[in-house]
Amino acid sequence: MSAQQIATTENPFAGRSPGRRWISRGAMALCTFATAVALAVLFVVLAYIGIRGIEYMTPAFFTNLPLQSPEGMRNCIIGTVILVGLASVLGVPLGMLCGIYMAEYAGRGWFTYLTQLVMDLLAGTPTILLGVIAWQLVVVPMHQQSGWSGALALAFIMVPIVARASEEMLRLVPHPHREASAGLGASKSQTLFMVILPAAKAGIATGIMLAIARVAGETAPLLFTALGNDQAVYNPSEPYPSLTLKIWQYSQSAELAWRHQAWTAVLVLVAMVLVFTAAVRFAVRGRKVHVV
Amino acid sequence: MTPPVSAENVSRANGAQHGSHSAHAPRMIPVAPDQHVKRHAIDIKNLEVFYGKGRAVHGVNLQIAHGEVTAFIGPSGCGKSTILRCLNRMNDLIKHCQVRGSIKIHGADIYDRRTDVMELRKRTGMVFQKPNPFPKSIFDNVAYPLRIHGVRGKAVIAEKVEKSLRSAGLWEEVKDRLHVSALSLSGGQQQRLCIARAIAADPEVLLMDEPCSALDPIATKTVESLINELSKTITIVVVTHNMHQAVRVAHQTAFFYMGNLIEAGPTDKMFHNPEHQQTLAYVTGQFG
Amino acid sequence: MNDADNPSPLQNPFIDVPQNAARRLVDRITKAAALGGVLLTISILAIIFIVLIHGSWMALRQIGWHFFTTQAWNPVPGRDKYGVLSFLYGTGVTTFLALLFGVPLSIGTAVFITRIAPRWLAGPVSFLVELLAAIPSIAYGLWGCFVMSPWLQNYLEPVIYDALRHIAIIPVGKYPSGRIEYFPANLVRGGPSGSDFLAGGLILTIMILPIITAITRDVLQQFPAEIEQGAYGLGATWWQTTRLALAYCRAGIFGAIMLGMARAIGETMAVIMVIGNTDHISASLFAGGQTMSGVLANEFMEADHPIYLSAMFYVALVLMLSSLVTNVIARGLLAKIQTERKAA
Repeated sequence: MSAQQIATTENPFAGRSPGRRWISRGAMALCTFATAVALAVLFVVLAYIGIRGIEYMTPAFFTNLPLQSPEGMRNCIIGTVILVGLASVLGVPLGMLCGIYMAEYAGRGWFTYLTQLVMDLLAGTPTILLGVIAWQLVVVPMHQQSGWSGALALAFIMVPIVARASEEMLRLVPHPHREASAGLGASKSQTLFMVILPAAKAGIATGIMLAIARVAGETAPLLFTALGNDQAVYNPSEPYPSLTLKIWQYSQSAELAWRHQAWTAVLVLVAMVLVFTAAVRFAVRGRKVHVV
Repeated sequence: MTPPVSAENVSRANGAQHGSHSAHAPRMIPVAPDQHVKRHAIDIKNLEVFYGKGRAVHGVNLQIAHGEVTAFIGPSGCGKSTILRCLNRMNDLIKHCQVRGSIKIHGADIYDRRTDVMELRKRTGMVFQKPNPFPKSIFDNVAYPLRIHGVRGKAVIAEKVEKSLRSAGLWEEVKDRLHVSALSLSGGQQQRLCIARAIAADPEVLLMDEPCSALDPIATKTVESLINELSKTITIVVVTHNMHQAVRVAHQTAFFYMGNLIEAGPTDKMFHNPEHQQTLAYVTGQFG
Repeated sequence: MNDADNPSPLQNPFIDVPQNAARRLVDRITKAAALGGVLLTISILAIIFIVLIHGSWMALRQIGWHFFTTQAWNPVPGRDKYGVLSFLYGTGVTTFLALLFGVPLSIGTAVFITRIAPRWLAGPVSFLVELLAAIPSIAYGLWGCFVMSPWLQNYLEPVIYDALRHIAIIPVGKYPSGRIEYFPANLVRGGPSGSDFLAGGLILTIMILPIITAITRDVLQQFPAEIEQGAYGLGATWWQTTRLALAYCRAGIFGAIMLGMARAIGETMAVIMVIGNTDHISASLFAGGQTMSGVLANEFMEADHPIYLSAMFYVALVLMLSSLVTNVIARGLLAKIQTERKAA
C-alpha cells in the first residue's frame, strides 16, 4: 500500500457524508439558478422594450400630437412631466414635513407608532384606490377629469415615500452634530435648518427623485383622474395628457400603428425612469435608500 | 449684554497669578446649601440627576471658581460628565433625564422654569469628547454660533471668526483655506476648531468634556496649552480621565465617585495632600 | 469683591431674553408645521376610508354580506346583481401563483446575493434586481400582453396541457355538465389561451420578485457572523448553515413575503393586460379571470347608475381591507426586525 492510498482511504476528514455535501451543492446551484432566472427576466423585458421601441421610433413621436399625421406623443411626454411636477409640489413638502416630524420631534408614544403605521399603510395602499379617492375629492366636485385630480392622486403616492426617505436620511445625521449645535445655543429649528437638513440634503434629494421616478410610471391612479387628452392641453383644470395613459389606451387597440407607438412610448417611459433611478442609485451607492 | 464679570477678567488678564490661590482660604469646597460664598462663577446646590429611575448624581454641592480652570476627575460612570452637562442643560436633550437641585451661574438660576436655554448655552460654550465640526467649511463652522445668535454683517463675522481662530491657535494653520471643509482637518485641528467655535460667541464659561480623549499626545499637548491660554479670560470646567492632565491644566480639582462629590480643592492639595482616603487612592492610581 | 457676580434672581440674564423671542417663535412654527404635516397625512388615510365607506354605503346596505357569496356581476340597470366573489378569487389565485413562483426565486436570489456571490458580483446583482422594481407596471403589462401571453399560448401552455390533460387522479367536484372534475387535469381545462390566471400570476411574480428579494437580502445580512462561524465550526455544510440563517431570519422573511403579497394584491395595470378580464371562477389556470383592482380599472368609469357605482366602491373597500390586513401583518413582522436592528 502506497502512502498515496493511505492518504485517500484513511484520511479521517475525507468525505464521511457525501450526501450532505451533494445536497449543499445542489442548494447552492438552485440559488444561483434563481438569480439567473431573475436576471434573465430583467434582460428579456428590457431587450424587448429596447428593440421594439427603437424599431418603431420616429422623429414625429417627439414632435407631433396623437391625432396628427404622422402621429406622435409630444403632448403626452410634456403632460407626464408637468403632472409629476405638480404632484411633487403637493407631495414633496408634505412628505418632508412628515419625515422631519418623525426624525426630529416624535417621541416614543402611541402617536409616533400611529404615524409610522399610517405611513406604512399609505405606502402599501393600492394606487388605483388613490385614483378613486382623488376622483371623489376633485373630479366629482369639478364635474370633469383634470390634471389637478391626477396630480393629487400621484401626490398621495409620493408622500409616504418622501417621508420615509427624509426620516431615514435625517436619522443618519450623526447625533454629535445636533449636540454641537445645541451646545452653541442654537434653537431646535436653527439646528434643523442650518445643520441637519444641509447634511441630509443629498439623501433626501435621492428619496425625492426615487419618488418622482416611481410616480412617473404610474397608470392606475390616473385612469379616472387625468383621463388623458389628445390635444396639447396643459391647463390642469382639464383632462390631462399622460404617457402612461396613452400606452394603456394604445395597447388595448387593434390598430397596429398604435401598438407600435405604445412600444416606443414604453421605451421612452422606461428610459426616463431607469436612467433617473440608475443615476440616483449610482450617486448614492453604499448608502442605504429604501424603495419598497 | 456685558458680562457682569468683565472687571474680574481684566484683572486676571493683567497678570493675577494663578498659582497664588493656595494662599487664599480654599474657595472650592463642598458647602451647605445656605452658605454664601462669593467670587464663584457657578454654584451647584443639592444637585441630583436621574436617568429614568436610576440616580446618577447624588446631592452634589460645589462652587466653581471664577476665571480659573476646574477639573472634574473620577472613574468612568462617576457622574462627572453628567454634572458638566447640567451646567448648560445639555441633559435636556436626553429623554427621561431629570435634574433636581439648583445651579446658579453668576447668581442666576439656570434651572428656573423660564430659563431660555439658547441664551444659557450661548454664554456657556461646550467642547465635546470627540471633535464634532459640522460638515461645513472651517469659516462657516466658526461663524455658525455668530449667525444663530443674530450677528449680521460680513465684516463683523469675518473679524470675529479670525479672532476666535487666533484664540484657538488655529489661525496660522487654516487662514489660507478657510473655505475648505472642516472635515479635512486633522483630529487635533478639528478639536481646536471646535474650541474656536465654542468661544466665538464670547461665552463666560467654557465646558470641556474630555476634550483630549480622542486626540494623540501631541494634539493633546496643544489643546492643553490652549486651555491655559484661554483661562486668562474665561472660566473653564474640564472633565478629564487623565490625572496628569488635571495637574497640568487645572487650578482646582473636584473628585467624583459613584455620583457623589468626594472632595474638591486646589489641584496641588488634591494630588498631594487630599482629605479623603478615596481621593488619595484614585489619584495614586489604585483604582479607576 | 463686587456684587456684580451675584445679581438678584430678578436680573437673571437667562430669563425672558427678548432678542430670542423670534427664534422661539420660529421654533414653534416649525414644530407646528411638522406636526400639521403628519396630521394631514394621517387624515389622508382617514379620508380614504371615509370616501370608500361613504361611496359603498348603498351597496353595503342593499347587498351586505351577500357580496362575498355572490359570483354574478351584472351591472345592467334593473337586473343589477353584484358579487365580489369572482374578483376575490382572481386576486387570490394570481397572488397565490405569484407567491408560489416568486418566493423560491426571491429567496434563492437573496441567498445568492448574501451568501454565495463574491463581493464584486453581489452589488451589481442587487442593483439589477432592484431595477426590476423600477420598471413601471404598464411596461410589464405591455410586455406581458404582446410577448409573454403569445409565448405562453404557443409554447409553454401546450406543453403543460399535453402533460396534464389526461391525468385524472383526485376527483374534486362536478362540472355543470355533470362530468366529474379531476385534479390535476382540471388545472388545464379549456386549453392554452395565454390570457389567463397563469399569465396574471407570472407577471405578478416578476413584480414582487424585487421586493421580496431586497428585503430578504437586508434581513439575511443581519444573521450574526458568530452563529455562522459556530455552525461551520460544528461541521455544518453550507446548506445547513444557510437553513440556520433562514430559520433565524424567518420573521423578517415572512414580512418580506407579506409585503410582496400586498403588492400583488394591489397591482392593477400589468394584471389586467394579461388576465383576460372575465368574471369567471375556474380551477383552470388557463381560464381567464378578473381581479378586484382589475374590475375597478375596467369598470369604474362605466358605473353609470348609483348602485353600480356603489358596488364599485364596495369592491374598492374590500381591496383596501385586504391590502391593509396584509400590510399590517407584514409591518408587524418587519417592525420586530427593525427594533432589533436599532437595539443592536
